[in-house]
Amino acid sequence: MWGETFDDFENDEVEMVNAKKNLMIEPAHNDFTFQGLPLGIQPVDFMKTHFGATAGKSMQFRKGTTTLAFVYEPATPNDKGGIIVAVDSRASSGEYISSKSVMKILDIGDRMVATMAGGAADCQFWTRTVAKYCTLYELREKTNITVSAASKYFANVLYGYKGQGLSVGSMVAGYDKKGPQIFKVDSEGDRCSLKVCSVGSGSLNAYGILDNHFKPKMTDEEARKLGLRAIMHATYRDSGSGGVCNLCHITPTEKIRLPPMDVSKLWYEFAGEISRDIAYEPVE
Amino acid sequence: MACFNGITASADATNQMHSFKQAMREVSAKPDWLSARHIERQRWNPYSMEGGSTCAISGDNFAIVASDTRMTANDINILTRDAEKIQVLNDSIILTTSGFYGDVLQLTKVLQSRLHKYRFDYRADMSVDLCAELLSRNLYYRRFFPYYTGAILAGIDEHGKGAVFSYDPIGCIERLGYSASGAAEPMIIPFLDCQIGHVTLDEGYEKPALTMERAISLMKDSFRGAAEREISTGDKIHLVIAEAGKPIVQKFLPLRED
Repeated sequence: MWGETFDDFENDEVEMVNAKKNLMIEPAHNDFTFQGLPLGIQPVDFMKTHFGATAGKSMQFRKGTTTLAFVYEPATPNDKGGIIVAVDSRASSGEYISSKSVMKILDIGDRMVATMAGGAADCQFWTRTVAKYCTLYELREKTNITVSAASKYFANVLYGYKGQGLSVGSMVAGYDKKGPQIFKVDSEGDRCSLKVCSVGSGSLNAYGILDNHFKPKMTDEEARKLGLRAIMHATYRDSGSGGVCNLCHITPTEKIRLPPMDVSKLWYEFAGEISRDIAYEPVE
Repeated sequence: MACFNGITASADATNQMHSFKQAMREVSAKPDWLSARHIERQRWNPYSMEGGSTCAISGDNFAIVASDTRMTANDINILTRDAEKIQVLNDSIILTTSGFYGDVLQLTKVLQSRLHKYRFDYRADMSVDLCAELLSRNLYYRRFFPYYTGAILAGIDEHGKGAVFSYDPIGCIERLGYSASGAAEPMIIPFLDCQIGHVTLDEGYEKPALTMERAISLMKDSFRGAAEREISTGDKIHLVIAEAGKPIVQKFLPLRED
């Protein structure tokens, strides 16, 4: 129990062995339940009434996002290849921007990340749960967990709460023995493996850029720029996205987190590159 | 179905599915057995909003927390002029909450008992980083019946630096330099963005460093500003100052009482 340490068993070797063995047993799946509403009250309706659009600004849950991830192969031997994960950093409650510096790339172990779209608290909490599961799995099985297994656990947990109002759209991305992998998981229980993927309110804008410029083989420089460019265009046209662009590059050997880039500065950078305004302006 | 030829069949199936879903939605929203009493119960409202605002600013070696002490019913009727919304949990952790006062009290009690248990188990005070995660999880445990509170946790972390953690009602956590919550949040934050975040300042201009004196005066300014333009904020500022290596200081300063 709480505060129980190995010191409590030092007098008895057999007990010590048993205690160690018990620690490695797979934990009880979920022995706690969320405190629910009184019987007969529908949780989804209840939430909509008290925390929906009519609630005060500070009482609405934080949400709204553009996140994207894609897999690419190195174009030259100097490049590393792997996965690029790029996200914006805005969290809004209704029309109020409650944070402009949210980190939407959450770690799951050393080699894996999950992105955060939909309800911010839902993503943070359940990603933690998945991270805990992965750590325990790796301790128990003495081998790295695959992205597929981690994302399947995630999807199963979310499916268990289907219809209760959770809102999660996450991409689990990472390298494992099968190579670079991205799985999109959402709170409806959907889970699918993709090479190019985007989730969130600005995903359509991001897809527009990704589908236009994505090549299976790219240099690292090109790939990172593509991630930034897609996020920048999404934040430009989607009011639910904005702030800075956080980018994470997962290579076969390491996970590189790049410093955040202000999207409004990127705007000028890209406009300078094509030497005109980013938005379409017809010429007479 | 009689017709199983191509497009008609699939269109029929789609229509059927659509009407089935519609019927399912209707029946689950309003089942036959739902009596008038049941429907009345669906409108059950366990929450009320007591108004007020709270704010926290952190610096290199300090964290200051402030809130007003007004408590209102329906934003209009003033219930009391000295409600305490800031709780000093231990020598380095301060919790401040706005929203439903019943949930505020309950949340405080839960955190206090968990901190007490931690002291008992580990023979040391909890650090603010740990308490921040604890609060986040405790908020999320009530995901389907949330605490109606906007919480901010502030304090001095293990490295002697000021820390401010901001939350939404269900425990989305973020560490920030400054944060506000409650009715005047949309007024205080832009002011602090301008004065501390310097987001409106062009490059090349002097950006004054955030000393404790400056932070305290900014805090006073933001509450005076909010009290001028927001009905549920006023009466007194409850100011709590935590500085690394020094005991926590609490002050009450007057605000507009109208």
